[in-house]
Amino acid sequence: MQIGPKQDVNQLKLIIGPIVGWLIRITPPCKDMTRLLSESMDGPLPLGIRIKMRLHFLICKWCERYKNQLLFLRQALRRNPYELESEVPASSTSLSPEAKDRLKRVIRNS
Amino acid sequence: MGGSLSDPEKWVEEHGDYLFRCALLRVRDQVIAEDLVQETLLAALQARERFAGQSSERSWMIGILKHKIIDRFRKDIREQPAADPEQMTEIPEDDEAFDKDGHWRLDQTAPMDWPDHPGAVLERKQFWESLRRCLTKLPPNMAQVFTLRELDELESDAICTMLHISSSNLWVLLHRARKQLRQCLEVNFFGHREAH
Repeated sequence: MQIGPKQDVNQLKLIIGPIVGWLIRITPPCKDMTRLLSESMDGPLPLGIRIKMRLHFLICKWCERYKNQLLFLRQALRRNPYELESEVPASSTSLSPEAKDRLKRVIRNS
Repeated sequence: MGGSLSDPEKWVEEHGDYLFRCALLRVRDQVIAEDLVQETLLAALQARERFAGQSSERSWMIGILKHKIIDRFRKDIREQPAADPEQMTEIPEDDEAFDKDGHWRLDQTAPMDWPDHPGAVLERKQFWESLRRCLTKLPPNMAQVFTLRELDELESDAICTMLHISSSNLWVLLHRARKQLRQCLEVNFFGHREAH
């Protein structure tokens, strides 16, 4: 029997299919993954859970993206905390002229 | 001898809006935010002899403001009757992102690949503008814990003690805040990028 590239791929599918199915069954569904990924940013998770999460990443690139994006947000905010406040002033996020006058009076009188 | 500060008469013009935005991100109420700016400026005025000049005038004031905000949160908690700690966790989560088995709906809400991620976008003003807008869309209780955790970098335990909530409550709030923020940024910033 001749083994060509096509047969290899088919054989691979036969092996991988059940493994993927098994991983889907034993790892947390994506909905739980998002909750666990958030929790892992606030405190340590049990080892068993962490292993299951790693296994889940093998079959789900979306949860891995989710994890990386949450970490990206954390780093962005923690490394550049002042960027958020320093954007171009808009009237809804600025003190009103009346408020400024009031504050100036308070400072002058104290 | 302290470091040198500018004339207090000019503080409102120089730092007022900045302090106000910083407060508004955390408390969500224009009146309270204005109050906090006033408390901060007055505290700065009283403490100006002790200004060491090691940081800029502005970051010194931001430091004072953050203390004032935390004081305010503590005071609010003391004055409110304690909320039922289990109440919040029972609010059903919006499950639109997932199918009945709890997996991503790949056609609509599964996380996209963020192309510029991670470095370059941080340099873009538009990114920060989107992020700020998304933060202001969070419900106040989520914004409160999220800013304490991610902007002020308090530990979970400290936040629970300060706000009198259980850790599971805190985790639920943080999880929802992160999820909503991520989704909002994806739709409003990464979703339609302008041409380079």
